[in-house]
Amino acid sequence: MARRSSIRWQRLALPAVSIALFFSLLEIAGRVGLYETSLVPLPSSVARAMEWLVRGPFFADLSATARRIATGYVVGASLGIILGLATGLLSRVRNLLEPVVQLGRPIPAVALVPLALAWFGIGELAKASIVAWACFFPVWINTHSGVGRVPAELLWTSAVLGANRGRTVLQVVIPWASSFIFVGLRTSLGLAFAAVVVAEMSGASSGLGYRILASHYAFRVDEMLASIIAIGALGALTDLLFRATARHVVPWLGHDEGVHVR
Amino acid sequence: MTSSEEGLRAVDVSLDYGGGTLPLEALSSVSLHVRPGEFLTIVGPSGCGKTSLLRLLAGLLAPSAGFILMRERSVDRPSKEIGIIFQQATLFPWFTVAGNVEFALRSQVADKASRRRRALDLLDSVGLREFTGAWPFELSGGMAQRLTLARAVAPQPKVLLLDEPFSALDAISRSEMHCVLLDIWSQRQISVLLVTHDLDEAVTLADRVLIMSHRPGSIAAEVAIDLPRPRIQDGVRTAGFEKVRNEVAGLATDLYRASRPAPVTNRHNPVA
Repeated sequence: MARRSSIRWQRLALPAVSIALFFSLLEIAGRVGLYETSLVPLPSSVARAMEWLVRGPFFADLSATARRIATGYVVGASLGIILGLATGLLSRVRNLLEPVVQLGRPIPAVALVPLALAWFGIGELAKASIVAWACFFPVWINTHSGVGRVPAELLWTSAVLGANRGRTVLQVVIPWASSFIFVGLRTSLGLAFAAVVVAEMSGASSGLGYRILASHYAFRVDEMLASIIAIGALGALTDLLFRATARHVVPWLGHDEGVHVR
Repeated sequence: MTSSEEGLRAVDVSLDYGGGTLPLEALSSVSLHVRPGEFLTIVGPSGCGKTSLLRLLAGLLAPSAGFILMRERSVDRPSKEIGIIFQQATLFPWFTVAGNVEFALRSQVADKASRRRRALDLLDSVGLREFTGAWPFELSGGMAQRLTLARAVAPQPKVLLLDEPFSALDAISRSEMHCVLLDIWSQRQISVLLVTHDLDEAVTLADRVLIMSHRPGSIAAEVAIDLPRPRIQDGVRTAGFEKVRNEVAGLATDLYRASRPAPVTNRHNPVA
């Protein structure tokens, strides 16, 4: 018991120590003049800028970005799972849809930003659809190949134990594919952040991506870094949330290195 | 119904694996009969088609020629009457220990509470009662196989087919599994067909041992094992075991040697 709590303490304390150490060294190096502080601001001035952001438009930006990620991610990932199940399980749907989906897969979300602006204007729909595009493909391809790769012995066992096709799909194929699906979901989460920043940098008036660019024009590197760090923090927090959810939804994958739910 | 019509039979069954890089005949004119309540083992060299034969008998593969009959009815798809345990692990990792057994009870016990009761009884019979709520990945190899066994008999099959299920276990777990399997076999009065390459295992368990030849596999000999049961007491084989085992081993060695295919010369090997 003592050993477990000391491991937990280490897991919390060591990252905090390493982060604190990094910023302290950076601060000292800047103050003794090892780098140009107008280009790489001191951690203390970034912190001041963050304070300014928190009081100013920061929360509006943060919530706009979070909302766009959430909307695009939910739509893109849901479509990815639904279509992945359909193309993975039904050969007719696979033959019908796979060529189209494969055609879209190499197109990066970034390339679609001007198109989305032309179609949907500078509103929320454009941003959410870019995020959804980025999120769809990893989830689709992982779901698709996951349900297609269930070992024959598992399917046979299910049949011999009296399960019909519907029950086999629900209780064998989909649970088996869930480790693949979760890998896709986690990959997409990272891509959603990339996509939202690009979308907000072209034709937006709020959001962390917009704030980075606005700070750039105002040559406020400290504000820029504050926004960048906010994106990083939001991403780390989301991943933490994701893993906590995965632990509850797919507890049997707890020992599976591929998903890293622990 | 006469006794020859009961049980599970293969009649002149052949199996060709066509279409691949090397089309080959895996099984050639195999006939066998698993009689009701009988414990049958099949031994054979690796690659002789033992696994294919079991899949045919379970209705998972279709023979190229011949018939598989269960009580005189053709077996052309998997059914609950014929259970099978594969060499590979097939526990469902997303169900708990009890959940795995309940999965197999689902189609016959509609009520959730009585399904749970039946599952617990089955787990009891293989000594896994305390592990009801555990995940399969938390079990040892022997425990996992006991769970697989409990799950396989849950739908009350008439015949249970086993494909080298204990080959990955250590010697102690293996003999423990032999006892569990023999208990289940005698209590449930099912027929068991176990495929193995371990002659000790074959002689320890079986009423009859069938010896297969090299590919294309066919039944080359049949030996009835008349040793009284139990054949192992407190981990020691009873008198007479060695003699029978050596007879089977001698016969198997001769048959394997006689049927071994000619060595293939390798054109691409510069040393040869």
